[in-house]
Amino acid sequence: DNALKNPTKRRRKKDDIDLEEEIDDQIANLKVAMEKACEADNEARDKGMAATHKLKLLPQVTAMLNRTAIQDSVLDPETNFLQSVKFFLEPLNDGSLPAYNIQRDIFNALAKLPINKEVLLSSGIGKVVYFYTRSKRPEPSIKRIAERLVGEWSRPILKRTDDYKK
Amino acid sequence: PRDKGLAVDTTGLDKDALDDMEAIFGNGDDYAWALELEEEEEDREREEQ
Repeated sequence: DNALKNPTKRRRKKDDIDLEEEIDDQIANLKVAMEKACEADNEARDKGMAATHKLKLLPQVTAMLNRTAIQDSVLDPETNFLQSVKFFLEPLNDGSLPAYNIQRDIFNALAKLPINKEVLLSSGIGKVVYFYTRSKRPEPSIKRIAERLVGEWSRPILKRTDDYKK
Repeated sequence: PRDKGLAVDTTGLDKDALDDMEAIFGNGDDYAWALELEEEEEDREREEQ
């Protein structure tokens, strides 16, 4: 009977849910495309060809990461969009890094997101970011962002121990 | 030699925090293959010079 008393409120809630489902679908589709692009780039490198598939998809990936209105969906550990983002940053089978534009755009987007422990654990993105701090291949500007992210992401964990000791 | 540990100071951390750090950032072995390829390439470049 709540719905009868306040029909507009109920409708709005339904619209929100529809929108959320639509966004989840968009994210799921993009994730599939991203994983295919990663495979295609590795195959291209194996054949001695240029890896261009991830690069072509990059504008869509950064647009998704930078859409602040849907941040909750992007950072949802269950949607796990950041896992696909991790695949984008991973070194290719020959050990080479993805194109500089991929590194630059994704690291800049990551630096703006409020990434918590749950999404770090589900995505594994921290592992690849940590790899960028250790590899000698990234440009210094990229390494700086990677180092900053490792620092930021580990702070709550280190702080917890600190609080515990007090 | 490359520093294998995390870039942050982990001394004095309790076990839970260390476990979390490893779960999030890995134990250093996750992309070791890529770092090895990198070093091999560097060695090759040095020999060619």
